[in-house]
Amino acid sequence: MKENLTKTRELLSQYREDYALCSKCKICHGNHVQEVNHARFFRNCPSGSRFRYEAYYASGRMELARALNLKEIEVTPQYLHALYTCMECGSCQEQCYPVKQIFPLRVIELLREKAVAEGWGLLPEHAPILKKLEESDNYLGKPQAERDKLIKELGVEDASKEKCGVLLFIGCQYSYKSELKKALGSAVRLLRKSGADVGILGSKELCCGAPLLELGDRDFFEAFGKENIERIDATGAETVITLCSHCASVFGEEYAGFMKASPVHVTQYISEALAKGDLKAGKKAKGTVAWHDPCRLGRRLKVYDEPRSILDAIPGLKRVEFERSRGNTLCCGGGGMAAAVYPEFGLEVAKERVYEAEFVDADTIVTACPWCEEMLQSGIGGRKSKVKVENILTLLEESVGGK
Amino acid sequence: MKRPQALPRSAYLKDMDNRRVLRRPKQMEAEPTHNLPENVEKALVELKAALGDEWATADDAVTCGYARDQGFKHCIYPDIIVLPGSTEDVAAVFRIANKYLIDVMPYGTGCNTVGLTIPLYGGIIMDGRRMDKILALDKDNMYARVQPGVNYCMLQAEALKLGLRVANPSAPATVSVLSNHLFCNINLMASKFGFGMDNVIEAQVVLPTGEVLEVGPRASGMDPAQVAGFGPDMSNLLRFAMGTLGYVTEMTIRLYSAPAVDLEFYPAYPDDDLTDLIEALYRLAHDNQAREIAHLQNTFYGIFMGDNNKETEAFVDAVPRNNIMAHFGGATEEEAHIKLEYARAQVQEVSDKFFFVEPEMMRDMVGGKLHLDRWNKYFRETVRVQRVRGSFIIGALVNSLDNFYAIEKQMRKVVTDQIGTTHGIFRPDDASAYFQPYHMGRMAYLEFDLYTHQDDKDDFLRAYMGFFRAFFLAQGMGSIAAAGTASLLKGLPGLDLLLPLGQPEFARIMSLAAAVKQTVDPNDICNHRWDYDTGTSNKISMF
Repeated sequence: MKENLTKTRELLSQYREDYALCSKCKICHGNHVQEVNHARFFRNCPSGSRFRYEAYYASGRMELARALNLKEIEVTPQYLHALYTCMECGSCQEQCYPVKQIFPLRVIELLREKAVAEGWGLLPEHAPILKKLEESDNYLGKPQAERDKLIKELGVEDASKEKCGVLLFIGCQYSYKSELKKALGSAVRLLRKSGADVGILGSKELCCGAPLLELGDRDFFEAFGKENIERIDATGAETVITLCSHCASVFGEEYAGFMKASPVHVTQYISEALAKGDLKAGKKAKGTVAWHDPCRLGRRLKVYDEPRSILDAIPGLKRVEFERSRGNTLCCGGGGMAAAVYPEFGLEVAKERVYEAEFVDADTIVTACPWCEEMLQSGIGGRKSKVKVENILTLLEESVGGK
Repeated sequence: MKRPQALPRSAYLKDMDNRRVLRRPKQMEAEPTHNLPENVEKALVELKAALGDEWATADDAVTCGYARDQGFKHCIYPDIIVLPGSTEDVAAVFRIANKYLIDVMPYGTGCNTVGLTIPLYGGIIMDGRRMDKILALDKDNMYARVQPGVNYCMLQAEALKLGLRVANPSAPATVSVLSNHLFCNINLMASKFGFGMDNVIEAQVVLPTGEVLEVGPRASGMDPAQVAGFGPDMSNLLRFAMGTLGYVTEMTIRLYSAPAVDLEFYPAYPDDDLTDLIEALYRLAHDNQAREIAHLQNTFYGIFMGDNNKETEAFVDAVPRNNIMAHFGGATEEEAHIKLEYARAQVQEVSDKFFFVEPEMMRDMVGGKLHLDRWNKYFRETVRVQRVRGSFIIGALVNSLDNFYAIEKQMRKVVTDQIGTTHGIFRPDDASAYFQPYHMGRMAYLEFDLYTHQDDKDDFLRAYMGFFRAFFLAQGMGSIAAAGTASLLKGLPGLDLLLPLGQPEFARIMSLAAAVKQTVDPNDICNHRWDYDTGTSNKISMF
């Protein structure tokens, strides 16, 4: 696309100073050292912790950008491996930016964009993802018409036909995956209970484009962005609520400012409703839960307190923190589309997160991201762990009561 | 949704791609015997077989990450990177390297800042990050045994669980404990515990021939808590040997107790005059009541305290020019309090111009934006040196406190003539000192921090000249170069050649070191860079 439909385009070359000035202090390899209480939980770069060579940490990926720019090296299969094993969780930037004012995550994102733009990027394993998006307009390759059924199933307004107060942008995963439908139902019922007039786009809702951004295909992403923005604007909704943390980051970072409605993640909306008294959690819950901060919701949008306030509002629920939490959160293994190509690697990361939940004596991991839910579930299977994964909305609905 | 086709690339860009000439920085000796391309290929095959396919590679995508650091040394690509997982792996790498005459460059966690791990003529880089286990933590005898991939943050976290702590270096918490302890290091506020190398109890080293050698108590079958047995202890040979004598795969270091109660005070005054401050510091050090003690000028202080440049600036503006930071530990509040009050009386006796910045006052001064608890944790327990972009350091061990005042004054004068920043954080006259007594006051370590922007050629030149002048001035006035200074000299192209002028015994020491190296490394494969560099310096010193 020639237009800048979403945020202003940037080029890798604009970040030349960043990758040239990286001092290799290696703080990008782990967590904020003053918040580390156990040696095992220092490491926070999923790919670096697994593959160990410098190229798999942000400090090494800066060199990948620099060496390519200086024409010192050619792109090799290992170059692509190092580039696409990054989960784009942003842990590196969380540590590096405050100290050095360097944006390692942005450099990696732009390196992927450069790879696609110049035609040397993307792996054969990425082709099915692009094909599904091209043919079906959603990440899972399912018929869009199925999304229309949700209007009736959920009993919500068809936002493309009737004006609604808030538009719920469901996202591909929650729309199609049966195991996630429970959370979708809870979301709608909670929003209604809080007094919101909820509508959805049904088959008019397209993928937000997050997978494309993560792969570096900005042209294709912008095609989806343009269409989504037009369709959302046409509804006249003032607020768009996203359920998925990847959608939330795309709306917050890319769409916002180009569409009329204000984007908000469902945890932000619900926590405000609880604070105002529009919702009240009364039924006692049992168990010890740990909130898993999805990278895109936490580090990118800084939504840390809202989900915690929701959990704290549920009486009887004991909340513990992961050793790596908030800005130090560990990726679930599903970020950056790495697990789509390297599923075993993604599983290893998920297992590590489940281990951490066991370590802090949590019996349930609570989150609000379909990618995290899926990965952590596989991590539990991989470890044969007794820990469970729950969506925050289903947990809250049980306490709020009523269906 | 149709996927947009990528924009057609211009003919110019296509042409560029076709004519793409790779300029991979690489150099060979004039008549090379080591690192011959055909041997590198054969070695790689054997390394993959010995370590596993995944843990040895010659791919440019990997080697490029080891070709540079933040120093001024020019970029050189190694030929092969290996990630050994055990002592046996390290030995196998050395055996293969000897067989094919490939240089091996030891590498811990890769935080080097002055080009010391960049191989001069290629070869193998042996990255220690896969060996990252804390092998032992003994609470009663207060020691830890670690592998090269363990960093200070990891060890400190585990030590604190047992009420122990590591004497931290003035380096990022991500640096390798093992290599930093061996490389002298300047411990943070606690030079009274000695430098890093003073805290090494024993080590396991794989010699360049592939043999495994134990040094220290373990060599004679003793426990690390015990005194080494009969015969000479070879541990000292490894200290500051820069990896020329082999690869240390395990090391036992001393830990110290982390007291139950920790109190601190901050005597300070705004004058830019160190006379009273040094006297007070000396007395505090001599009495040995303070657990941590140091002097920090405000700009230096800010770098440690601020989490980012903005916080650093706020801090620098808020605190007085000269500050002492002292921590007092005790098993009870009362014990720590008695120590603190005694120290306060000592400082007041030196001069009545000191005022004591109470912790609450410190919070008020910086507007509550900074977290004092976190700073204290930093000083007591963990390290996070937050150097702003492009800071630059001169370190010096002052051989006598009597010389300190003159050295500090003159060094400051010459460097402020030369050094400044064009990067907006610090003013050119903000060259700032950091001083701490060593071993209860018998020696002083002085560090100057100079703020430059390394990407700015003008600043580079000014840093170069400022360093040059300050270093030789200090040498002439009774200072000896600290290890950090020596490595910095090596990091600045050309200046390493001047080492023999600064250290008259340099040539003789290096001849002896070379003789030892010849014994353990007959093919001269281990850290060849150091050998090349110092060999050149050695020749110069012969004249």
